[in-house]
This record gives sequence, C-alpha cells and structure tokens, in this order.
Amino acid sequence: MPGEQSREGWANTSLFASLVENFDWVLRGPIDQNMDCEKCQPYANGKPRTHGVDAIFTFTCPYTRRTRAVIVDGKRYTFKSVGGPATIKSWLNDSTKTALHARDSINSLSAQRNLPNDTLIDTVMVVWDCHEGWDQAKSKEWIKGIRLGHTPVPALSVFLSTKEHLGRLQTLSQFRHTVHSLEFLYSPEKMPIWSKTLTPELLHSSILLIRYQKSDSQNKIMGVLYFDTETPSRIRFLVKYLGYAGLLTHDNITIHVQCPQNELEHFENYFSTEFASIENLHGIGISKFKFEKIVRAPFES
Amino acid sequence: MLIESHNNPFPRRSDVETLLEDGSYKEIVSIFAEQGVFLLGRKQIMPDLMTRFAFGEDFYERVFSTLSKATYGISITGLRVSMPSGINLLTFLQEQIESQQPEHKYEPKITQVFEQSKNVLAKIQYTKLNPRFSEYRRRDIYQIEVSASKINEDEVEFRTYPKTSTDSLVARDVIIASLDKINCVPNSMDLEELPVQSRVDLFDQILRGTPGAIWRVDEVCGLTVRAGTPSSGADNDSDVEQSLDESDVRMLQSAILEGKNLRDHKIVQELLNDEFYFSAATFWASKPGVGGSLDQYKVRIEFKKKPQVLVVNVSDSRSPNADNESWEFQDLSPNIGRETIEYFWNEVHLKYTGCRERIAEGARRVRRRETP
Repeated sequence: MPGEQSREGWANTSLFASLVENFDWVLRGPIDQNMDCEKCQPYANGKPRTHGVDAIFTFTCPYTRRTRAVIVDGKRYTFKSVGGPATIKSWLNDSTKTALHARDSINSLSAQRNLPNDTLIDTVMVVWDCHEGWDQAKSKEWIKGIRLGHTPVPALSVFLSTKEHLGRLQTLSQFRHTVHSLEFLYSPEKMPIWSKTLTPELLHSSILLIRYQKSDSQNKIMGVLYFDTETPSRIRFLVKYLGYAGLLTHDNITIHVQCPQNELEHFENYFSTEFASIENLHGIGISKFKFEKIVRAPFES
Repeated sequence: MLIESHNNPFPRRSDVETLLEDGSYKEIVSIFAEQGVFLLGRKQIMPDLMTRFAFGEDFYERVFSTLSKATYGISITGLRVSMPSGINLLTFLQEQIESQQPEHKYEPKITQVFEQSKNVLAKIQYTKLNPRFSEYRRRDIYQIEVSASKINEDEVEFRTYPKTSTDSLVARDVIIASLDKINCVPNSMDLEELPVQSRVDLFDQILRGTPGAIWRVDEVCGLTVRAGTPSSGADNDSDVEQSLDESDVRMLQSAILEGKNLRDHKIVQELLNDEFYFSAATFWASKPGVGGSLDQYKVRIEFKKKPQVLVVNVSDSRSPNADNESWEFQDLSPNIGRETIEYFWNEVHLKYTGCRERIAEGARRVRRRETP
C-alpha cells in the first residue's frame, strides 16, 4: 500500500499531467509504474530489476522536430522536511540515473509505454510542490550549491521545477482556457517557429512570446506573457527582446503581466520609461502596447 | 589579453560558441543551475541549449561577463629547448618580428622584442574572427607575452602566462615555428612518453612533495584520469576522460597525507589495471616553511592534449578561520600566485626529468645485464 508521501507525489504528478496535456504533451502509460531495467543486472531468479517512474511524457520539439521524452518525478514535501540541498541533489541524481537507465531500456520501455520510434529521452523534471513553508530566497541558495557532474551523451537537461514554475504552469493553463488558440514563438533569431507545444525550456523562461485568438472568428493577436515584475532589468530586456524577435513590426501587442492589480499600473509606467529610452532605435511609439493582468494561480487546486 | 572587443546584449548561438571557446564551462553550468536548470552534457551542446531560455537581461549579462572574463587565476605554460650555447636570444627573437605564419588560423606575429631583467620578452599579437559579427568581418585582437631565459648552459626556457587556451596554443605555435628555422626542436614534456606506471609515479611524487621544500601539498581535491595504452603514443589513446567521485578523491587524499603511495589505493590499482593514468591534479598547497603561514592556494597541474602542453594554474586562495574548522576565501594576490605556479612548474619539470632519467638508467642496466 503506498505511503502518504507516495500518494501525495502521485496526486502532484496527476495534476502536473492534467496541466501539460493542454500544451501537447502526451502521457505515456500510467502514472507511477515501474520500468523494467535492461541496464541493471537481473535478480538471481532472472527477474529484471525495476525503477519507479512517476510519469513519462512525450512531445514534438519545435527546435529539433524530434519526439522528446520527459521523465517526471513528482515530489510533495514541506520546505522544512526537505531540509537542505543534499535532499534535492539526491532527487536530481536519482531521476538522472533513472533517465539514463531508461535510455538503455528503450526497447522494453517503448513496448510498455508505446513510445514513438524516434523518441529521445533527453529531459528530466523533478517537480517539487512545496505545500508548506516555501522560502524562495533560501531555495535559491540551496540550488546554487548543487552540482550534478555527469556528462552523458546525448545531453540531458535536468529541471528542478519549484513552486514558482508550477504556479507559472497553472497560470498558463488558465490563460489557455480563456482563449480559442494559443501558440508560443520559438527561435526568434532564426526563422520564427510558432508551436502549441510548451517546452520545459520555455516553462523555465520568464518571458514567453505568444500569439492567440480570442475566438475562432478573430485574427491572431500578438502578445507576451511576462512573469517577473520584480527585476527592472528584465523589463529592459523585454523591450529589447520584442524588437529582437521582430514583434515590434506588428500593429498591436498585448503584454500579459503576472502581478497584483495595484502593481500593473506601476509596471506600465516603468515599461513606458524604459521603452522611451530605446524608442528612437525602433522608430515606433508606445501606443501599440496594451497591458493586461494575468491572475497568478496557486499550483494546488 | 583582449585588446579590442565588441559588445552585443543578445546571445545568439554563434555568440555563445565564441565565448565558450575560452570561457569556463563549469561557471556557465552553475549559472544555469541557479535557475533550477541542470544541463548535463559536453561543452558543444551549450550554445544550442542556452539560446532556448529567456531569463532576462541580468541573466545574460552575468553569463556574458563570466564568459568574457578570461582570467581564472594565473596560469603558466611554456617549453624548454636545447639551443646552441652561443645563441643570442634577443637577436634571435628580433629576427622573427613581423614574420607572419600565413597558414595559422589566428595569424599570429611577434610585434616587439626587448630585454627585461635577465629575460628577453617577446610580444605576440593574434586576431580572432568574432562570429557574432561575422557579417561585418569584425576581428578581435589579442596580445600575449612570452619570456625567454637560459636555465643552463645549453637549455632555454620559453614561458608565458596565458589567459586562455588560445593564448597557449598561439604562443606554442609561434615559438616552435621560430625554432624550426634554426632546426631546434623543443625538449619533450609529454606524459605519454612515460610508461603508465611512471605517469602515476610522477603525480605521486608531485603530490607527496619534496622533503624540506617550502611548499607543501595539503589536500587533493581533484584528479583527472585518462584512458590510455601502456605503450607510448597519443594515437593509441582512447581519449576517454572521467572525473573521480568526490568520495574517491577524499580517500586518495587521506592516503597521501598518511604517506602511502597513490598506487596502493584500490581505485588507482583498478584504474591501472584498466590502463588508466592521471593527466591532471588539483590540490590545495601551502607554504608553512615561511613564517608558518596557513594560507592555502588552489593549484592545478595539467598535461593538456590540445595543445600538447603542461599548464600549471593557481585559481583561489583561502585562510583558516579562528575556529580552524572553516575557511575564508580571499582574493588571489598576483605576486604569491606567480610564485606558486612557478614553484610547481619547476617542480613538475624536475620530477619529470627524474622519471625519464630513472627509466633510461633502468634500460641501461638491462642492456648491461644482457651484454655477455
């Protein structure tokens, strides 16, 4: 019978799955199922050793056009019970090991989870829902000291998705339900690629360039989802980034800002000041921008 | 030293590629880790991965300032060469001024040669195309200094204090090309010319230090092992490198402090059985002989493969807190930094020469026994 933590981890992973499915992620197989490992030595009786896998998702990567598999490990612990970076490091190392063993067990995994032929297991997400005592500053300190130190080939991206990222995912999901269609912009420096898929990299970025339709009869609206109003230099970056991505040539751009209502006006003023300083470079006016608040949703619901 | 540069606030793949050539992979990995992103892979993957994130200006400023910061402590590299005893180093190097190497990727040339103290200094300039501005064919111009001095009657040492691996490469190529004109070949300082056991012996001796010496190795904090074959020759090497786990290094460190031989350690034995050898070591060293100072300096000795040179680097310094259980990190003083690397540079040469002499002596003894 699963313990309390295991059950909560399952619920956390289920919630995560329900959110990312809005962004073209496909859950492969059931949640919390063991994987037969082809890398580990089998038991003496010939039975294969197994690793617990909370969830495996696949999506088509807008950059590489390949099927990427993400191994998700759901954690639900209070801040106090985690205690320090050693626990987080062990989570990340365990999940990394599982992913590397999954690569070597791709045949049995594909059969078990119905993975597409060209699937590349290149991403691990440790999803930590801290439901009590979250301390952002301290968590940053902890994460700063963690070094994993493997160099697998092909490369592996390991994400620690904390409350901040999960709140962002929930907010994005809510936004997705308020519009008819939503696409994210990738590779702005090259040929722009619009995709409905939200990659883990984009989830961990604070600025997301988007286009969407409010209803099926409307034209596409250019916009930005902006998740960080605390750091002034990020507003400067946003303005430059818009120009860099070629979005400034569009007539109307809506900036969706995740912040409390009383701070939206402050953000708007700050944005205008920053914009004015580089306005001459682009030869356009501030009037094309519209600001809208997006409600920050807590991860738990 | 970069003497001309250009700035661009937005990272493109080519920007990152250029900067990563000389930047520290570890630094970049740690900046990403602070965002909860752990990128596990080789340096080559970083440009692609880095441009997928929009973290904001402060993030990219940090990345770029870290990558642009070419100095990670102080390094020394160079080569020794047997030259005719009558040669005048000043005249020899002056003759090389403005003689370009047209085939060389970085178009290096010696621009100035002058005497300083007992050394002869040569300034070398080279250019690097900055792909970030390739549409305008912008080039960054770098300058390095190489000093030449006689270390005995017929041996000359050329040494430089490189800021980047390109500095090392260019200095080595320019000096070798100049020596080639007078048919001189640098004395070998190639780890792979030693039998595998002697390569381990060499590091063993370096880490044990010399009794009575003013510098002492206090704590080994990193060892790099390289897979190779027992016979010499780089072509046979499988070029697989791996770092030992922290716990293993700690065990090795205590083995050294207890005066035991590195080769006695089970991991070393296992690695030797698998034809591995050490190619680099990082350790904290102190100078207890002078004034009883407890300050420690982080030194790295590395036999690099590309370019094939020995590099000794000092990157950090620390002194014990009053409780004697923790350390306070300090800015590295350039004077003591130079002194540290010069000491270990000479030490490695001494031990390496000793190793080669013992091997030669062994071979002579075998020949004598075989001769009826």
